[in-house]
Amino acid sequence: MRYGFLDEDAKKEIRRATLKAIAIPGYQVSFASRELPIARGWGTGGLQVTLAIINEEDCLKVIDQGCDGSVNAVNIRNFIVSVTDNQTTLDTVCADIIQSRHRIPEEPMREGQTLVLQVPYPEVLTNVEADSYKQKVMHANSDYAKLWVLLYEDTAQFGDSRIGHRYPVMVHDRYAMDPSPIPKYDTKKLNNNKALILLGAGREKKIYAIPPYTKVEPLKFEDREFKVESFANKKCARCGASGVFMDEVHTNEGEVKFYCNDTAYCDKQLEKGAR
Amino acid sequence: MNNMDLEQLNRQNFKSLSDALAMPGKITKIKSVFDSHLLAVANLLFFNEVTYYYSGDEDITLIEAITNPKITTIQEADYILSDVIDTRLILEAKKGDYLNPDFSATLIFKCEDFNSYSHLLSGPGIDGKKEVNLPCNKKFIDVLMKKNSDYPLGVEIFFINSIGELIALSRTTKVEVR
Amino acid sequence: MGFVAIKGGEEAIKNSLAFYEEEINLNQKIDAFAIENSLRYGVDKVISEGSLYSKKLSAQAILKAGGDLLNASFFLRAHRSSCARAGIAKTIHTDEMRVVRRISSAFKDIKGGQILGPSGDYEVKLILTKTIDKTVWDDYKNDDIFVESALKPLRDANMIKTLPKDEHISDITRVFPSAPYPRSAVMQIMARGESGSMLAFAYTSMRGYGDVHPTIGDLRLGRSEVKFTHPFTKNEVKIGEIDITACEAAATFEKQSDGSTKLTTGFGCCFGFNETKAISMSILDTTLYNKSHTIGQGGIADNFEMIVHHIDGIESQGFTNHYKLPHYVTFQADLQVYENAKKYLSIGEKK
Repeated sequence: MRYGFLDEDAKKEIRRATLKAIAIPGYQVSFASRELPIARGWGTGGLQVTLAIINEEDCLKVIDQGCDGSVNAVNIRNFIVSVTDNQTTLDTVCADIIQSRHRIPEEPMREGQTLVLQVPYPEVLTNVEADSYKQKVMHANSDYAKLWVLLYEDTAQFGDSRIGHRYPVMVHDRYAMDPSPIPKYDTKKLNNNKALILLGAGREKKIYAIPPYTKVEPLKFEDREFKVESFANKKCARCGASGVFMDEVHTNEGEVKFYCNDTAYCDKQLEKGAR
Repeated sequence: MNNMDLEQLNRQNFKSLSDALAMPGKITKIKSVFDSHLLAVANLLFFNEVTYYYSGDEDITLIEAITNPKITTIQEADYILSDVIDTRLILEAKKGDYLNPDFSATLIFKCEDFNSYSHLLSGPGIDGKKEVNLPCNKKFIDVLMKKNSDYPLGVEIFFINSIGELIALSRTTKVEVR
Repeated sequence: MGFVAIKGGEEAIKNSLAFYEEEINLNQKIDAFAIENSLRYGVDKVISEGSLYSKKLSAQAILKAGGDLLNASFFLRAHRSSCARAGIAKTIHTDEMRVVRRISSAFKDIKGGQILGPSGDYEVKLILTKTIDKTVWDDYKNDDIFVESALKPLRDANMIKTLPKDEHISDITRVFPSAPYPRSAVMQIMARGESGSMLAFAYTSMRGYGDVHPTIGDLRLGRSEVKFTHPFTKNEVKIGEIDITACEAAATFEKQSDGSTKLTTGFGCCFGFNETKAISMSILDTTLYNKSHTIGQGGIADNFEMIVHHIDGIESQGFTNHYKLPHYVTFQADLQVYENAKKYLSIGEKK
């Protein structure tokens, strides 16, 4: 099988979309989106991006919900390795390409790294406008009034937006963008990130990007605080870390425990502690 | 072609191209194809669904035969390649529309080296401001800034020098002549 | 720790696959050859939805999928992705199809006649097997049959609305268009659409959320030659034959922009013998390009967004199943927002 599974023309098309996406931060570029031997909705957008950009020298990390060992992460990593024979890592710092679903790693990323996020709903306007042509017109006019109305209605009723994850962001003061289903805790990491962030939606056939050092801000009213998930006074029951995004686990004994969601980060903390 | 793996070269060159565009002003390296850096970029970008316009002396026929793009006018081309830096090409290149700003041209200019003029860059991909040398004068920058003034409409520019170094200006890049 | 502790996913996946293999293969006494030659409607459904004309691979995929046809189509689509496109074949004209079955409900008698051919339509659905004797007609001939569309006389008489041809024929596997969608792209999406989804959408229009009560103008099942320009000799060569189903539906009449009044029609065409799918497609083609007159533009099947994005079985199946993946990060985020909202509301009540 050829390196990276996809034929060269498919890669060229994805690369072209990727370059245009980098040039117009937050704008969704359409692409043909090939079917892969992995089901639609399981990360095929991110996977196509990864397969189109990866080369022999890249070290790869794949995570799902913060975990390298999750079944879907294992499956995607195994598939990529089977078609590239590339080196893989669990360490955020060592990776050149990180493909992730629903999380941005705890450890800061650096210049030259690429974060590929899997996206189920690339269109930030879906919840307020179902028609894709009208969505495109709204983006063309930078007309996000309907999003603001939604935010206003939620705030009036519940004191804040009801959106828990995939919180809308404004990119480079121009495009409203769906940042993929990351928690609000990760939203602030999009701003001025040193790594290139590529977002791929396979089923919806869209690629978009945030170049390094790009202004990315959550859509919010000026007089309202952007509340992120808080795990105040919680410590990881495994490594003792605090101030990170945590998983809430209900044990068989009925206890509630908290663990670092980023398992590679947790391993590192544990190792540091042991030393 | 002594075992030259074009697809492998494309993989490596893509990384250089995307790094250059993602971080305008950053210098990356292109590996040549048929002893040409321009042809290497053409081989990377050209495929069935894209159009191009080339003004220059290199023999592009073999790359064209391998990759199968369509030749077209400056106004229609997805990719505009030129042996010399020419503002006319920027003026006439398509810059997309508000619905589809991605239906716009990318220009690739050959040059001897980057050491002509010093410029100050800012915008996405640049940490604050960055001073770089570019092979283009104030007139060129004025034309480009005007072309890219209706963001998100605009064009991307790549410069390749004689030793295969690549530097890019994205449509979001603000350039001040020093 | 149950679901959260999915470290060690590697072994779990392997075992899960082994169990799945056992579930499918334990008593399997058939091979792909048997499937290809005995379950033709299953095989045809899979080549059509899998968008790849290979009955052999289709049969293999059905075997691999344990009979799950949607899953089998997915195997074909994935395989298709790894094949390079050699070129574009010549347009197939349905009038040049070697017909094995052809009916028109629009006219009692038509040029070329009604040819029932192989059909289970009049089979009484009793599960008991019984053998059926074939009557051999005296004037039976073994000749190839070619018939023109039963709607051709109406078309020749300028009674039928025609849509403008796309200048550029889309290939949705190369460039997926944005709205407004070219008709060639819409037809391709439907040709590889999932039969059940298309049936349901078409049914909404027939039943009440629209006003297309079609008449089947012409339904043809048969074999068509695939022709190709030889890359070296540049001669037209036949590279094979494919089974196809083609359907033309006729619906109500409409005032045209030039002031004339014309009948509206729709066309459905797909790989293999898939009558229900081809009929559904012809109805959807009618509803999309001829907005309902009775209930206004509030229909379901006349909405391009609705049809273009919701009939692909590989996509809808994949996305539906992806909800089995862990979502604990997003759920945790949602829970915190819920707690905050509860707090906010309880403070409001105290005031």
